Amino acid sequence: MPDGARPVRGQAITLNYTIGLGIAVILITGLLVAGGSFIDRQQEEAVRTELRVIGQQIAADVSTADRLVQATDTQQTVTLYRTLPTQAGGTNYYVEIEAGPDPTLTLTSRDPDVEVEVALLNETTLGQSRVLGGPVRINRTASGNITIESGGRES
Amino acid sequence: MANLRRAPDRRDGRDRAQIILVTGFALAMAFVALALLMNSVIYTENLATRSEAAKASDAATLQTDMINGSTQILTYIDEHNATTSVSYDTLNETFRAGLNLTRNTTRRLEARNGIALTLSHVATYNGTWINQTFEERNFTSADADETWALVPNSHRAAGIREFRINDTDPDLLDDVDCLPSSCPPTMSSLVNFTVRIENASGDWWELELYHDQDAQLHADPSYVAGFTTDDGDHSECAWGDGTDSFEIDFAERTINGSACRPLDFRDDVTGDLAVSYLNGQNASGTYQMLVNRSEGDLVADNFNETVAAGPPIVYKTLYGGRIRVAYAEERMEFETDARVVPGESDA
Repeated sequence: MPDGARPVRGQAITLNYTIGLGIAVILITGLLVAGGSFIDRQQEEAVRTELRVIGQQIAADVSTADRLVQATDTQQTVTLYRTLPTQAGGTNYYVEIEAGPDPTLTLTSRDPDVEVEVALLNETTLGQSRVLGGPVRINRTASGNITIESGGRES
Repeated sequence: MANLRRAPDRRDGRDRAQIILVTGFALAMAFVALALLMNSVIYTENLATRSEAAKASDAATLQTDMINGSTQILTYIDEHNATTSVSYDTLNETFRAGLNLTRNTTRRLEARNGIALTLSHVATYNGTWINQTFEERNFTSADADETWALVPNSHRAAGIREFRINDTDPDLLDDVDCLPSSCPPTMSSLVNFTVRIENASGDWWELELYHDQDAQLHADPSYVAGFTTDDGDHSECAWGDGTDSFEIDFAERTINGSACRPLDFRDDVTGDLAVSYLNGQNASGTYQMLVNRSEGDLVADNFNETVAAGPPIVYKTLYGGRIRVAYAEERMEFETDARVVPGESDA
């Protein structure tokens, strides 16, 4: 044996390399898949939390409008302005007032698919309405219903 | 033989290390995405703690203040501007001027808080004072009619307030000689001084004043206010007959300062009302009433036109009004009408 030569086992270098690479790829793929799904879950949770907060703020404004309408005489108009973020957790979302005997405020996002509902307790009638997230107006005209509309205060 | 085995090479280690590098890069990207996500969560927490909600209490408080201020203006007009010669246009202009002053003063004050406030006039309700307060006499009309209409059936009043009677000669009250329970409730049989209030549906309410001098109805000799309705209900309020005068306050529902719940005639007659005095010769003193009718709607012959001619006389005044309050701040706009009538629930 020449001086300095390392002893080698009876194993093809190619097979050794392939097996090693394969194991590494499997491990790394598993790590990336787990990491990716973890991030997806976190994003969904972040979107849900943010929609919940936004929903509570809009519900508070709807309550405020209802209190003002109930406390005053006829011929009232009430408009409350709220600047909401255009995206929640990096995704667009919709805000919808679902009128009916048990009115609710529903916030939905498409990707991830998240839906949050906030119950509304109002004496004033609510009007069915749906808007994209962003600057909104809670509006009650003399005709009667409280609705949500897009657009902030006109300068 | 030729050496067919390739000697170990350091490049093998570097090839495997490149895979680890790529993996590390992918994980780093994942951590960056996570950091952005956490940023969104932090923003959400910040959003949750912001107190940017518009306050309904401020708007409601200011609206109440405007109503109270306008009510004070109307009260002042009723007490100081109502005369026999003033016109409704003049009274209306006085009310508008008062509202303008209130608006201009309040607007400047509220502007410092970033609030734009507007107060404007919408409507005025004409009214008439019916007045026998500056001279005591019996409760007959100006033409000495004993039974007469203060507010006629042809022009019933939607509202009556500030109604007070001060009887300064209770000896004129008729003595009990006909127990209410045994008397049919018809005008021809009653001889006691009576206030009759009737609505368009024929519902009526009567207050009858008499003197139970022999304690037939009560333990002691008393002056009695008997209340009767078209439903046949009957109730009474009584007080000792040792007083030289007594005051009936329909607004406060008191007689001589003591509560007398049946004085609230609106429990029995609703809507537009006509008011009559029956047997006015059997009571003497002063009285006043502010009705939601123009002076021209009342029977002119029942009243005198000038103070010099003596009571009862009528004054033009304002019964009430309607205002519009507009409130605007950074996050809210609010506008509403409000009815302004001093002592709305008063008689």
